[in-house]
Amino acid sequence: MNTALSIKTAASAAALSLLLPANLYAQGPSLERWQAFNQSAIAEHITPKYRQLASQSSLLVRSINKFCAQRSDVSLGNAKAQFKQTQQAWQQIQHIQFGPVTMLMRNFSLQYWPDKKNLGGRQLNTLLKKAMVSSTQPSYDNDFFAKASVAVKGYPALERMLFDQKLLVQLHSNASYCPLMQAIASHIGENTAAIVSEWQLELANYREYGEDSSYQSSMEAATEILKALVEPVEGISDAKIAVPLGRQLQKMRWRKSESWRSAQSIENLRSNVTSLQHLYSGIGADSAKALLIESGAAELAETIDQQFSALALQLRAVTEPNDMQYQQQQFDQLAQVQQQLKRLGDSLLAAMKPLQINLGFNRRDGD
Amino acid sequence: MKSFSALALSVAIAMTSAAQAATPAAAVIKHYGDIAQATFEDSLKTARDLEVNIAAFLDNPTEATMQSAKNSWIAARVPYQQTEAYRFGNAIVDEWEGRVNAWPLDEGLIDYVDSSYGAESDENPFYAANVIANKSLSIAGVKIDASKITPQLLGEKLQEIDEVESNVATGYHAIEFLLWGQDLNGTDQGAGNRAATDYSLTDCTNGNCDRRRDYLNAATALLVTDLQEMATNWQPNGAARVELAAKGERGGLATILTGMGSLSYGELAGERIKLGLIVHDPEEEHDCFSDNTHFSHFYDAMSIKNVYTGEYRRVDGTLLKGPSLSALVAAADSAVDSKLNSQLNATQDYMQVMVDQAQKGNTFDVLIGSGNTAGNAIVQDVVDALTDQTKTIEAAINVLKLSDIELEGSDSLDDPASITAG
Repeated sequence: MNTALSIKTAASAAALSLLLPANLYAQGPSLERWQAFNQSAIAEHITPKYRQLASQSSLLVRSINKFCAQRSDVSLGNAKAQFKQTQQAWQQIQHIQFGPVTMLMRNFSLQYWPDKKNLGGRQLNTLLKKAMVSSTQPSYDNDFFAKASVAVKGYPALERMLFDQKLLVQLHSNASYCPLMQAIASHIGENTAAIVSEWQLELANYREYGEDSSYQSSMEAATEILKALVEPVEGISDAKIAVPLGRQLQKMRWRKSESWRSAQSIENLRSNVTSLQHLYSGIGADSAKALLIESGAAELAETIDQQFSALALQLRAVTEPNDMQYQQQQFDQLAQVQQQLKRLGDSLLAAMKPLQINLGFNRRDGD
Repeated sequence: MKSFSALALSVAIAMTSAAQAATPAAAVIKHYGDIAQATFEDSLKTARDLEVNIAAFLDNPTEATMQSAKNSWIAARVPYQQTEAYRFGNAIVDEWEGRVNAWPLDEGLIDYVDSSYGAESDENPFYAANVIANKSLSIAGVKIDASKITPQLLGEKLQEIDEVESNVATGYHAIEFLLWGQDLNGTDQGAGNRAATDYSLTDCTNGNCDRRRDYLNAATALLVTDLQEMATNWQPNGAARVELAAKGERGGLATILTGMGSLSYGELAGERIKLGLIVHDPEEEHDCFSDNTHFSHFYDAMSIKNVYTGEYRRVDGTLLKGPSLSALVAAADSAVDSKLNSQLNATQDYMQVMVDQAQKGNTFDVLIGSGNTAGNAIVQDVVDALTDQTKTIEAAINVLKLSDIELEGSDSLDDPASITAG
């Protein structure tokens, strides 16, 4: 893997496009090609991954119900294991921030993170305390979830309830502990099932384009999908690695990592990278990679795929920290992953030029 | 190449008409700098008023003198918030901004807090360090001599101590906390309610009044110094102007639009408004001690409008008006310009609804409360309006053919060298 070469390619591609008129690449893909890309991304990537998420979430509901019906170390262990599986299914589709997942703020409801002010912890504690002092058992129904904060609705809340020993001591002392946990799981189950069924209706938005439709053109629809490919790379590098890792070993603060309670922070990165690469080049003949090659940027297209593969390989060697702390060697490994992600992000941004795509502002601008 | 020649030509033509004639980009960028200068100068002026009123309050700490100090804090926010469209895109502003407007803060670093605040945090070893009560700190292997509370202690030692962003020791929000105290009303009505006697040398409440006075003095002095620095940066030939000019005309225009879009969408609609709405938590309020959040958001939105329309109403009432980005966009595509103007006005209207609610006691923390359907909807309208206008800001970038200039990450904007290095 010649990394030095690939950086230079990306950098000079970016630089060139500023110095030369935008029509260096005669033209981007046709509207027909963009339409083919949209169809493939939905059929090969988005829909199957949401289906997987819904089925994993429904398994999680069952496994938590089972644990609550018959509490034992074994059934708790099973629920925890299932939680991890479900969480990885979410990590595979976390990057999609359009369509049904954004309805009713489901994206935030499924995962409110980062939680800088420990809202999940504080709000869960408040709910449990309220249940303790109340004379009647609170009901965690639709009305409850309609009003509840997103910080107590999603996977992170379940992760706390299953893995956080400080919270778990209330399992026996608080009669509402299991009902609340089961309700959160069911709510997740319903939300993910709804996303799957609503995608069937969503397909109409990819059949007709124009003033009265969601998208003006197949290219605009494709831009939204490409945002889901490009933007998460920087977010993963910053929020999931740079922040918890800190600038030096002594400043490492792993509690800021995404899933430290279930010791899955690194596993999440693996799922993210694998899934993003799948969206980039794993969806057949109409992938972003294929379109990039057709647009005359074959070298860059290949570089990106190699950067993805190199990252996946690098991540395979990284372990979750012991007792929340890395040794220098692991620290350096992860710092390297961060560097690689930065390069990948630059390459992907550079790729938008031959594709003639303007990504526009994103949620992470500002801050 | 069309846009290049059009720009080159327009530079040669003097700006004679405010109408949609060929507005030279250079004139727009210069006027953008002039508005920055005026807005930061106004921020400095109102911060000096605040300093005077705080001195009067400390001289004679009564509820009345405290109230006028609070009033001048609120007045100081009016011009400052209108500088925020300059933050994203101008590295010199963005790197400095944390010193004056960092948020949210773990206020337990500074002073006493209610027991509901808690004594520790996973994220921050200095969560409850309470510098006012402690002359020396020894936390997480860091030793701090805090026997004298000075601007240097706050700015150089405590600010972001241990690399934790929520350790905010300086700026408007630290002063806000010192004037109002914690807002313990949750999502019910009411702001922080600190007693004036917290600053009394004869009748001291909550202890360490002398050190609390020192802190308030130091933080206020530092705010004035910091604002002075930025006002100087925007003087003709100041560092901010030089940085802007180095980007060239297209880079300059892209900077204006980057600032507008980033503040509009990621920062204001997202971080500062929607986040509070989805977690229904009063801690997620920009001015959480004073409950002045509605005005902070209102003037942020106005900041975006100012840099687009080239108009700024100064605190003395005079109107600063000049060559606008709006006219440039109109010349390229009048439909995009009129859409953006009407969206910027609509946003201001939705913000006004929030301000009106606040006058009735329904401040931002009340509006985002769980189950407050009507309040939530008012806030959601603001988020939607900001999101809509961002789309048109993107369209403006396209019609000015600036889209090949990298927007987010802003590497190419922050560091012009990186553009030519390849």
